[in-house]
Amino acid sequence: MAILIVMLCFCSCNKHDMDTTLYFIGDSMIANWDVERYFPNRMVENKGIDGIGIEDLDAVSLTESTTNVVVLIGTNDLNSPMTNVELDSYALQYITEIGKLKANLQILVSILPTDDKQKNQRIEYVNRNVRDSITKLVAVEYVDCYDSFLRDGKIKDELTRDGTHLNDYGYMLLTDLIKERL
Amino acid sequence: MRIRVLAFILALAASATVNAQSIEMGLRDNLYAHANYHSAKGWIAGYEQSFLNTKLEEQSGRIFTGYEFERESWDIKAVAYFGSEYTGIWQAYGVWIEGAYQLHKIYLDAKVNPHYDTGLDFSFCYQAEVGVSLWKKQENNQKVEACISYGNIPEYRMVVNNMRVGAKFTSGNLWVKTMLSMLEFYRGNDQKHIRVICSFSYSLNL
Repeated sequence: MAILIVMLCFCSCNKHDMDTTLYFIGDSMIANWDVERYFPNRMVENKGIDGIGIEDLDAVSLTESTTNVVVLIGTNDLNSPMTNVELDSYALQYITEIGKLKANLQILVSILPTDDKQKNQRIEYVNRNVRDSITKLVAVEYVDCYDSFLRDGKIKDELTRDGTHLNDYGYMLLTDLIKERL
Repeated sequence: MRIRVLAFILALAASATVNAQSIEMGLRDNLYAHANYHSAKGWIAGYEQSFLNTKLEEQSGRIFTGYEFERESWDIKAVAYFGSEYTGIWQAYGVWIEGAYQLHKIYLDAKVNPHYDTGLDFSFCYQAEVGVSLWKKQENNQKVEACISYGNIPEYRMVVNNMRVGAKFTSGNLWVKTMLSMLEFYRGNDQKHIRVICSFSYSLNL
């Protein structure tokens, strides 16, 4: 019986083009995300690295040349005060680095708010610049999650564990927003 | 889809041809419910259904059939399985061979699981577990055991090394195992996740 079933299995199995690995790239927001648990039936790989910024994106290597990626990065770059000129320059660098990633589909998640209102102003500025410019990149789909996490200018308390990093509820919301694009 | 239904019917038919001894129902790793027949001669056939946090069409099912041999302190089980996501995008199949040995208060359990996923290709999965009895009452087979395991049998779809620490509670035909699963903790990389994993099983004697 087991042999028969295994034979039937062989008859019905073929690799599907849609079933490609979904890579998650970014800083600790990605590294802390148990992507297997939130995307349980997909092939996923977490490439998140604590503390990295946009200029470290080169260090992330993808093992497959044609793949799908979810990118969430930038929180660490905006800790210090910056002028609008510096923010414009940063947004340009951000878009350039994102454009270097080779992927069939790239889901770029907006930088999420923190509990620091001044930092959030910088994040909003960069997010706006990136959102307006990212349409030039064909393979990139921008997911604007910022407002979904925001209340009174800060990240919603119930979605974060320390004012910056997400808790399980935060990751559930983030997952739902991304699944809409997959 | 028709092939999967046919295979499922054949698996159930195999169990129906022998004198069924028990029906076992349970849950594996929080999200996979199963029910199977266990014949008096040791044959097993059943079905496992996922309850993932995804759409209905993205759930998966798995049929399995095999044989269990129990003698004194030994319990050896070999099971072949075939599963697929309902969309048909991917399938997974393999064989699960498990050997358990009870040595006074300690039990040893080893599983080997050659596993093929149409998206991930072949993986050789395994799990080694050791448990020690903390409390036991002969009446109604009640006991509590501390257990620790190491292996890479998928908790979801991906093959990831994990260490599990927890306790197994048994009372009669029911056992419940709660474990903390620590993934890839030994590598020292940035992805450190701990999951609370619960499994249980109840056997209904016929």
